Amino acid sequence: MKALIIDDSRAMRMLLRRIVSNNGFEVVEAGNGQEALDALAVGPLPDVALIDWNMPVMDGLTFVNSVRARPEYRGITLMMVTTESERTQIVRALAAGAHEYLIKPFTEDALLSKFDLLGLRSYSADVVIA
Amino acid sequence: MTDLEYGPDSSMLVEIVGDVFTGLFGERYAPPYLAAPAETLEVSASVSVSGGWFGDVVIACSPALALSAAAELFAMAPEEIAEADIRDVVGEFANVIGGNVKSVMPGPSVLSLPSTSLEGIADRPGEVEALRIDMTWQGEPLCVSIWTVSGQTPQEGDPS
Repeated sequence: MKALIIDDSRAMRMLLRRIVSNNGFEVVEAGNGQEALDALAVGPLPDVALIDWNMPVMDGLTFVNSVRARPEYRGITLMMVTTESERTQIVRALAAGAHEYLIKPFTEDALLSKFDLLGLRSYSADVVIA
Repeated sequence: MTDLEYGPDSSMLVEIVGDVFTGLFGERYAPPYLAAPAETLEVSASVSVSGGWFGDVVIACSPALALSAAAELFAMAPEEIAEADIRDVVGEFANVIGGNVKSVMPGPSVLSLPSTSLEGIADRPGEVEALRIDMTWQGEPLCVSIWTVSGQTPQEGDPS
């Protein structure tokens, strides 16, 4: 599985990278929405994009709109990871096509719970019938 | 005590800061707690809020706190930390703390990108410091303050 982390803060990208890579994801980083679109253009496509909202050059909402406008990117799960917590902002992001929304500050458990809701972590169980 | 008519009081602001530090550093370190004000805090970052409320949220700390936080977040030795890393970390403090302050102020509002300084807190003409908490983290000082535009009244409505 592959994750694209989009945040203008390198520290935040490091934090997210640590969490998702410890859960088996290969990680690609981008510092803004335009860098993220450039990364998508050269592929391979990620399974999930973790998207900050307030970034220079291209913000997260614009990135979400851009991705949703392209059918070839429809398989990417989009999750906002942002300080924007106003209901109107959450509605805007989800209406634009984001699948999930996580508000900063977040715990590792909260992020991974979102991943579970989105079916991004699979578990295999060996069942022994005695 | 606060001069804010609305929004967080000191205890809520302490809780916001604690949640931010716990989110960034996990349970490895105790969150910041209230302490006496420090004389100088050379590293600062701020975000501006505009819309239903106009003001700034400012975070200031000692260089040692900023260095320690950056080294921890980047998993690097302190001597490897560059100025850009310091600015990145304190900028993110301002972004997340500021965003959480914004969420309890009149809205809707927009949050600016953070601006940072290694020369202390900039003068803020036309603004008043409405709320300030002084804290300590890992033995180093940290201050979080909310500045409002003097004479404003909160407005509900479209920030654009």
